[in-house]
Amino acid sequence: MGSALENYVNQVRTLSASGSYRELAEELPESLSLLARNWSILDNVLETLDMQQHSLGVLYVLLAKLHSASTANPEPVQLIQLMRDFVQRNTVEQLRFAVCAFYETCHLFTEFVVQKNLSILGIRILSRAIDQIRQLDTQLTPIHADLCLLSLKAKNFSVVLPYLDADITDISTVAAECKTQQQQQSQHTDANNDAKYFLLYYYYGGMIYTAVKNYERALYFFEVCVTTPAMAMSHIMLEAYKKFLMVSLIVEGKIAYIPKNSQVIGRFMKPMANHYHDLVNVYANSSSEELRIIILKYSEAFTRDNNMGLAKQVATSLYKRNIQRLTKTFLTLSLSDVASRVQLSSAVEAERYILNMIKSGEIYASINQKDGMVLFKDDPEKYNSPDMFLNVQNNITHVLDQVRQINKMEEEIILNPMYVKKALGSQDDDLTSQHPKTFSGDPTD
Amino acid sequence: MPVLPMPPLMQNAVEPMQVDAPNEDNENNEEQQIVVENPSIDLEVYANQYAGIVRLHRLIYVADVCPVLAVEALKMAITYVQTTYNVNLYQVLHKRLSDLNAGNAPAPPANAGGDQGAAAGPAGAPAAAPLPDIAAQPVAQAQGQAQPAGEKDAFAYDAGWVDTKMKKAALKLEKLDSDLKNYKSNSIKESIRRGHDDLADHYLSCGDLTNALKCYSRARDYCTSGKHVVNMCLNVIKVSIYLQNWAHVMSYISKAESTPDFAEGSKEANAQVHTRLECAAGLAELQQKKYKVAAKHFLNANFDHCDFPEMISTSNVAVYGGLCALATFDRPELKRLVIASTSFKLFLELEPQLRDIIFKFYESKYASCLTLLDEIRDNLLVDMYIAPHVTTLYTKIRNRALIQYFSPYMSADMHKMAMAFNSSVGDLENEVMQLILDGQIQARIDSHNKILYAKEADQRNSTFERALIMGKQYQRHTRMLVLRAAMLKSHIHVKNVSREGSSSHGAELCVSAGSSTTAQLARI
Amino acid sequence: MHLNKYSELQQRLENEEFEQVELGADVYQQLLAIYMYQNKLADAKLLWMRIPNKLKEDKELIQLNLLNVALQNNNYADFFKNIKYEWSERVKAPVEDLLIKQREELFKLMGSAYVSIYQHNVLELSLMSEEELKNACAALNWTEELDGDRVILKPKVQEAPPSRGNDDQLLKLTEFVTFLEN
Repeated sequence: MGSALENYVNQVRTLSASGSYRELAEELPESLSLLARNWSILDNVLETLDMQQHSLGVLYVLLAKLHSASTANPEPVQLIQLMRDFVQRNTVEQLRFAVCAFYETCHLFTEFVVQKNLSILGIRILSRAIDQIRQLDTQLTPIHADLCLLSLKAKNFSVVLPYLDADITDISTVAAECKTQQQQQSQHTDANNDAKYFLLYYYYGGMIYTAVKNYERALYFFEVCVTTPAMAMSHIMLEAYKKFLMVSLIVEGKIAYIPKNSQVIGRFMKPMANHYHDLVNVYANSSSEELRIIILKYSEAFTRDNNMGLAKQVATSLYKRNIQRLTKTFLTLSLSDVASRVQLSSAVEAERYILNMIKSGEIYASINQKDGMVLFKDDPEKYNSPDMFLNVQNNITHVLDQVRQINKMEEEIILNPMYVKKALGSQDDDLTSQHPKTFSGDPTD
Repeated sequence: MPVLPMPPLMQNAVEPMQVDAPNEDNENNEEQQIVVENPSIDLEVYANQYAGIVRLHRLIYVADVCPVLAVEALKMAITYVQTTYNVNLYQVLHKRLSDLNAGNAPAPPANAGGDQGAAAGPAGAPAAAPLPDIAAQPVAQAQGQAQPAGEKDAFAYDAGWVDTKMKKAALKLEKLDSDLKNYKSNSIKESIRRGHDDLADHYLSCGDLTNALKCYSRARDYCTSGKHVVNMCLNVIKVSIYLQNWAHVMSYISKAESTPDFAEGSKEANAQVHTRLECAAGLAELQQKKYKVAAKHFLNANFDHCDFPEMISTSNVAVYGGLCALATFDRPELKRLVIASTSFKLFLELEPQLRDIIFKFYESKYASCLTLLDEIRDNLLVDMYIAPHVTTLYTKIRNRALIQYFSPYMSADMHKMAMAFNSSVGDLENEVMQLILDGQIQARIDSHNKILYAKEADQRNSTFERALIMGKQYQRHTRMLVLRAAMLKSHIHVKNVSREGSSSHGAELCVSAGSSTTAQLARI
Repeated sequence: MHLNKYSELQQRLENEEFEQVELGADVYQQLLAIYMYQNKLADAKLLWMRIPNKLKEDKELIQLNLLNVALQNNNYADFFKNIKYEWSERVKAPVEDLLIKQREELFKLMGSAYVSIYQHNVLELSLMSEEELKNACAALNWTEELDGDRVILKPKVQEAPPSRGNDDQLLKLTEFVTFLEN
């Protein structure tokens, strides 16, 4: 046994020294099971390797440790420390030859840390891992989903929010990265896994935004999740759809527009989200009383789906929406009238609601306790302050940037030889194109 | 299948138009019937305006909705039906009358319709056999009760008449049929066409609407001039109206109007046809709830040439046209097309109440206008074509009145306004709130002082607001677009994976706070 | 300006959270107090959710959480009631700052939201003594009026300080001018 491991170390050393990382990357997967079996002496192996020079070698040892964690039962803090050291000291260029192994390591690490209830310790580590391995600031990797999961478990979003706020322009997938390497276990060559991590990123991301009450961006994330091209329904999409419906109500008061590009939604998701659709229908009647009744009726189902908190937010949003409707029609209104029109229990409660909404800037009003009246005012925004100009300016710049980016993307495609061939050489009429959308419409003269 | 054409009866929904102490229409829940309590029409005059099946339908409708006039209506209907070959309808009517007289609840119209369906004419005389028995029973019952002797006798079930008529009908049918066959063998187009028409007329008289329609339609192939085509269209339109097939009516109207030889023929006849088409069109549009278009059609009718007792009466045109116009025209249109119109004036003279209403509306005397409207409401509800639309039209008229009332003001006292509209301040507040939310009035309600203030929309602000929103939407859209491009490039796609083999997609669906969901792939 | 007062301390404490396996109650206490002062109520709520259960029995933490809950629900009465407590040295500074700030907030809110408000309501909300309240109102220029035996306060609207021109704007303006000139 010892000699086999020695061979391993030698292999790593020689190939690393000569810089033949590609060859090394191709050889290493075979040693994985050997390493996993010898979990007890892996620490010794580590002592003989240097993290910087032999990053690839160390990666596979780490991977083996994680694979064998259930039998080996390593000390959590030690393993976490090891991982931390690794992401801080490795040489990224080496890792690029074994990207999939790196991804796998991160996934297993996440599982491990979650299991040991030490999610918060893994956050910074994964964040560094992402920063290292991604090729663009706006590239999505499978590790992003792991980071989101850890943040949710640890309930600490300060690290993950900047990642979520950046708009994705590129995606790194296992299927793409590993086609050059004859890779590992069958699990990960399944392209569905790429889809899974993509969906999870947007699903978890939506949940995180909901937790920090950024409902608009949460809606965007859930919409992405729900409209991902799909032939079959995945559970992730179904859960995302349920949350999508509820957040939709909070943001827009009705179901937000979904482009009708997939039948999956209609065929599979709608029938399984009956309660939620009922909720949407009742919301449309603007009656808080009815809404309360229906939430009560389905409270068990909502709790099982972990959506009870959201349901309460939906109820509050209906009160708020009704009060805002009042501001559009009334100039003054007695507090008791407000209470009866919006179906609150008393004038005092109505006053409290209105006060809260004034504080958060959702309405503009003044309360006159002497007469028991509310005076509704208009939005005092006159759009003539320097701040507003700056805001408009920034928006314009942003939009122009986006237009520039789209133009660039279009240029890339137009110059792509495959596209040119397909667009002009359509006499074959054999268009089994992979991207029917982009190549549609033969340009006839 | 030809069912006794009862228009769909609308349940009397509670509308905000609450005039104090109205003659409230009771809601009779079974089968959503309207029950009219106090109409003030003279049934005989009313019925005499119509001829043919129309009279019968209308009388039956009156019997349905108005218990007070039911008996009288049924009696008139029975008398009239005895002049036609419509044996089935006679039996139906008679049964209903006896039921009424025996104190039972009026038979639901749906059942009545069912009997009608059995083709009495050419198909099978034996089918009629069981009927006399059923009819005989209530007669026996009725005769057992004390009834004013003279009246009852006249309306006893005349089995003899039934038999004779049926035989006559069958005979005539045979004759017409054989005549038609003769003509066909002689191949004289004109006679064939006329033969079809005659046959269809007979069916109509017997109450067999489907066959009548078929025959009229068949005549199309034998038309040799534009006039014939127009005639055929008019006939089809007539029967379609009885069948309440409005789409059909509309299509045949356009057919008639597009006939190339429409313009030929004497001016006199032309105007008649034109008016007839306009009235039919108006009726059809009315039933399809296109009130403004219907109004315009009715207003185009020419009084002097309006003589179609088989379809519609002149006072009908006045009422339908007037009400629809009031509900949908704005002030200049109302003035131009209704009040100042010389032709429509003649119609309005037939309905002085409606004329008053329109004038009062134009003069902004809303209180009296609305009161008058309420007074004629019951009369309208016995008219089968406009009854289902009365509530909607009234609401529209009332809303228009509110908007018009408020339009010149910067601020209005809601107490005065409520008085002008015969409602309480609270109800008025609700109505106005709805109008504001719908965007029909630009105003704000000062509920403390009960004043309505007009409010100008600030264009500059709203432009800024909309521009910013549009910018945001564009950005979101573009973001999504870029993301989708990335997805396509990387082939992100959820595939249908078989159970055995790879770890199923979604197996590790970790939802925060540790709830576990079992992962199952949906199979197509 | 004073929002940045505790940011260094906050950074340090947050880092500790990410690195240490087990933290003492003091770290959480300080963080919670700082978050509340900086009005980061979402962060405060999340912080409370991730504090391990055994630490939640710490008295001071419990008291701080009462403040937290009161702030989340805009419950001024509870807030001012619970802030009267013997705070430890570590959290005394942020908590006192928090108290002053919340008083200011309350008066600002009332100034903008109310046209007239009963004095006893204000007293209930702010838990100040009548004297203190009179002084505060005088300082803000509020007027009074009597309605039977209850005093009604009439808040004056405070003018928002005019915002000064932005440096960014000047930059853009200069760019534009140079563009035009060249």
